[in-house]
Amino acid sequence: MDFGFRISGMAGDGVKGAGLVAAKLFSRLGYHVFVHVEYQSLIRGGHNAAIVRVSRKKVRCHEEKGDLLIALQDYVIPMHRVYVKHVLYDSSKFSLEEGYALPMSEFAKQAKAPPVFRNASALGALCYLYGIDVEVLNGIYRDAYGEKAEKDIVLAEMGYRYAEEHFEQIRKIGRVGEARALLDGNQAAGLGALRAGLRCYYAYPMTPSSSLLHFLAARKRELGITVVQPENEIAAAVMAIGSAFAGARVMVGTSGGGFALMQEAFSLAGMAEVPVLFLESQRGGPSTGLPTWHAQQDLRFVLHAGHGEFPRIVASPGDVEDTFYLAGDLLNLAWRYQTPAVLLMDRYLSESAATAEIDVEKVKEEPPLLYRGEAADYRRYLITDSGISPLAFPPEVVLKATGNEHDELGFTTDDAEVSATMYEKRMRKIGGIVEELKQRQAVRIFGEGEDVVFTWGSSTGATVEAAQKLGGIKVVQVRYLSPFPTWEIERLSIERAACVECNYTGQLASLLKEHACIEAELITRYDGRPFTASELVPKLREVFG
Amino acid sequence: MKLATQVKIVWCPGCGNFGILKAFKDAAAELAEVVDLRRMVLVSGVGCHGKIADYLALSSFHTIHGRVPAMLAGIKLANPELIAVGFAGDGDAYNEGLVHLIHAAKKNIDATLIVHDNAVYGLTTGQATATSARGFRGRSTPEGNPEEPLNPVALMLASGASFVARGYAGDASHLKEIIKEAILHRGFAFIDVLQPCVTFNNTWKLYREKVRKMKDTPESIDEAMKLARAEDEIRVGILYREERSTYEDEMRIEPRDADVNALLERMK
Repeated sequence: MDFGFRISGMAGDGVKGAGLVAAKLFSRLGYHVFVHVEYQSLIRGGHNAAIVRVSRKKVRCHEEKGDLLIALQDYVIPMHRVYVKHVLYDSSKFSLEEGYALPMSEFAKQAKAPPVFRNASALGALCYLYGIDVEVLNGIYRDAYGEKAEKDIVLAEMGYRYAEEHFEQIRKIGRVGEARALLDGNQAAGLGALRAGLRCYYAYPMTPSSSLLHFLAARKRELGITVVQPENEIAAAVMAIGSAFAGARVMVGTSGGGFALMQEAFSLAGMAEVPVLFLESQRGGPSTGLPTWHAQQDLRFVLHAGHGEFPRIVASPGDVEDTFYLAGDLLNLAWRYQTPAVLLMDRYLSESAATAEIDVEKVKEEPPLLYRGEAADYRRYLITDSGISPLAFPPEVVLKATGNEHDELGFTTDDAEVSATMYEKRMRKIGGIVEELKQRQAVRIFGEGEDVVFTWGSSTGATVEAAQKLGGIKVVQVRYLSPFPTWEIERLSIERAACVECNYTGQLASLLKEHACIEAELITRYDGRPFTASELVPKLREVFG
Repeated sequence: MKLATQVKIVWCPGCGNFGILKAFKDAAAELAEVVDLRRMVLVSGVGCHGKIADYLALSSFHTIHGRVPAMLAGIKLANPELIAVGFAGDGDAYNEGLVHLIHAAKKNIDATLIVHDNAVYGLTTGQATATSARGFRGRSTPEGNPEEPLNPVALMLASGASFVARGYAGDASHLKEIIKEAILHRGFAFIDVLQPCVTFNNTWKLYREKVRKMKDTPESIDEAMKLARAEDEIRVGILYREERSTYEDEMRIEPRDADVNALLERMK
């Protein structure tokens, strides 16, 4: 069973919130759900939509086709009508010749609730349409708002009863399993990093990373994490370096434009060997671009970010669970190798909520190499075979760090021999990271076949589903992008290759060519919209025949 | 605790930085009786002043241009037990990183910032900075600097710094007293240190004539502002101090092991 519905209105109508509550109706009954949210860069008016997909199987992407549109404004209907069979609408606001007429605003008035509460009556009606006990909805409201849930519950029941009298049921949904956790990629990134010992989170607001700032700030006392929104992105990156220098595990959250501002600090983290995890969630560029829409345009940018050369660890997760594990792994690796790491996310992954089964115990705080000698003998940049110098922090030792080239003690130098030796020490860490990644899952492989589709980030979801529909196709999600896992790519047996990604030039495809001489047919889009499986099926068929 | 390092000092002979280094060393030596200097962490920016990190045997981070206040904030948020002292130049603090300076004052981060204000970019060989006098002929302003100089002390008073002082590199013992008070102050302690650059902006004569030590700290911020802006003489000393909660008091959350399983359970 695989179906869906969508809720649409203007900004301020509570579309996203209603979509998440509606999705929870099904995840609480044991279904897998995926919620894709579309919105514009404005606060009131315009067009917002939450597209919910429900399935018995794990789903990693949305589907356009669905049963129903819940229309909170009349002007949104033409945008969605083609995708759905039925329309449920607010008949107190406008009338249609078809569909389920529900006087949502009238109900809100009767319940003496603000207009935005009308959504509760729509969700009550949704329960009836899918044969779900309205108590499931009431329970969601109670868990979210406690005693303040009263008006939502009253309206949910008004909507349910009205639907019972006037509408015909669409489907009959029963419980199929235990309730599933519903979270988005940003939340998963925060939780994964917390498992790996995250102590401070620094972020300047920027879509699509901001929701993680809000999520962590709201729970900072419960989670024991310092959450700071500083004066700008440069401050965020530099504060993070200061905190890590003082011994705290840190993460910085931003999008492409903000990460551009952090370049000098990123390079400083590389030179001073300070472990900082950067979360870069891509949105449509260049420049301000499509600020609330999806893209995967920053791969090359992140791989080459910062001036000069230094080791960096870059990875991109394919779904919510993958985000949790990679965030934890990257924070641990950043500390083990004392170098910056980037969790390269994208708008679709960051802001789409999905049911996820996360094995929390799989991520633990892995200790870095710590100094155990006499304080007086400490050398912050001790030359070692691995390139890793043992860590220690003030007040236990005198710790000297610098963005200038330096000697083992951390004093500035421009001596040719010392400079070259120190440069080589830093770059030697790459060898260790490669060996480490060989033990971890540098790529994820889905399916079997010699027709191979490469992809990365959230494009993985639709690509895997489309390949499964066609059969005989192997999908390779490249998780680690720096160092590039050439060893994994070279062991593949490839007849024909394609590459799916949301950019113009085919940035992953160019890496495949550079590192493994693979020529992949490009399947790209750059209109701010993520791929769906239905769109990819004909495109893959075109490539593989 | 020995404060000198093995590193040879490479400032120009006669540079005001020597006075600042001496004042800081003397202040630290005296403070060592009341605080553990191993807890002290220095941050320096980019410019001639930045080398000071190499000349002091204390923990330090020689960071990038303009970002000293932000790094001080990060250090304190991670470990409030550390004593954070920043050194910045005028180009560093008043040009490249002015936003961080204002916000550090506004936030009241518990750190001291000593600005080596020589009103010129020295290390890049003599261009005008935010505090260069109008008409200053630098290598990038051969016809004279067309801008009015910024008044850093007035700016910090207006930005909410809880300790504002002006010092003079030519009077190391007076500066030492200010630095001691600044480090002991809980909150953002700002010291603009007038510092001649013998090579590109030699102001020794000007300062000898115009600098005057204040006897007392003014009673009010209005009075402090008046003295900060006075043009007849350049007042040095502590212009303003107040006690208020620091940014770390407000923002830092004590680390604990997050129960991620419990949180995921609630996301069902």
